[in-house]
Formats: sequence, C-alpha cells, structure tokens
Amino acid sequence: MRCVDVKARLSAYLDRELESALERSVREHLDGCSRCREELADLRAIDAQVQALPQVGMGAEFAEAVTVKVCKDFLGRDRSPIGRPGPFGRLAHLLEAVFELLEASGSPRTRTLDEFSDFPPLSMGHVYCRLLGLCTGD
Amino acid sequence: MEAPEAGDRLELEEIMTEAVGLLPHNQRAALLLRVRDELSYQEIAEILGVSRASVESLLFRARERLRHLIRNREAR
Repeated sequence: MRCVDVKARLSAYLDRELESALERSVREHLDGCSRCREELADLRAIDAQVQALPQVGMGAEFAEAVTVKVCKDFLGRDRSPIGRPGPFGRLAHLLEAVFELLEASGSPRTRTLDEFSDFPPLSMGHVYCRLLGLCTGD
Repeated sequence: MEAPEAGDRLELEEIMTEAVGLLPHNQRAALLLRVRDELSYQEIAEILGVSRASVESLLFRARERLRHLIRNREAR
C-alpha cells in the first residue's frame, strides 16, 4: 500500500473497524514506514485529548435531529424540531419526547429515572442508545 | 505532536475544546460517540441515520481537521 492510501485508512485502523485483510495490509505498511506511524501516533494523541475534555456538547442541531428521530421511530409520528425558540426550548422539546417515550415503555417511572441518571452528561447519542435498549428489552 | 508538559495541559485543553467546537456538528457527534462513548461505526451510523461508510468518512475528516487545527495553533 502507498502512504496516501494508508493515511486515508488510519482513522478506521485506529478504531479497529477495517476488515481483516485491509487491517493486515495497513499494519504491514506501518511496520516499515515511520511517517505513517507518526501520523497514527498523532491520531491516538488527539483521541486521548478528546477523551480528557471535561464536557463538549453536540450542539442544538444534533439535539433536534435526535428529537425528530425519537418521535418518528418510537412514538410513530412526525414532530417539527423547531417547536420553541432558543437552546432551552429545543432541550425541553427533546426531554418531552424522551419522557413520553419512557412512559410509553411501561417501565415504572422511578426505575426509568434511575437509568436516566446513569447516562454520562456528555452525549445525546448515549440517551438515544439507551432508548433503543429500552425498546428492544436490552 | 509531543506529549504536553503539565503546565501546557490547560492551554491544550482550551485549544482542543475550541477545535472540537469548530467541527461541523455531524463530525463532532461522530467523534464524541466513537471516542467518548466508544460506540462502533454501525451503532453510530444508526444513531446519526447515515451509512457506515459515512461514519468512517466523518471520523477521518474530524480527526484530520483537529490535527491541522492543532498543528496550525502550535506553529503560531
């Protein structure tokens, strides 16, 4: 493999998401190429720094996208993402959908609230994953 | 990219926070779901409603962008 091809795959290599033959090819290239190894080390350092960040939000757009998807996939209806203006309005809109879904799941309110409190404060995506777990009985 | 000295960590954290904040929201979401929540590409694809190949591309571009932002900042 050429360096340019390896560099395009380093991110997925780092995440162990390459298919095995491709992963082997990248590894073999890395064994003999210090520049690509250096680039891989840069990516590892970036990941470590991102992990060490105290909190980074995903932004209002993502919260809106999750709200729409929760409503559509789990509550079975469309809902406009722009119900109320401003970031708190959007957050209220999302939480409204989440709690509606938790009630619809049939779990006792206290249990679902306990589960909710276990989510890392960082990500809306994690909330969404837990919702998937609730709906599939995970 | 060298390991930071203790005194530089706070500045590095500020730089990284700013750099992550400058990413397009879909790149930022993919990066955080992967790096902080440790989700697989398939799980991220389902959450973001995109293909697995798109997740690979989003993560590649997010990391490249962070690398360039940080290198540019270090070069100042």
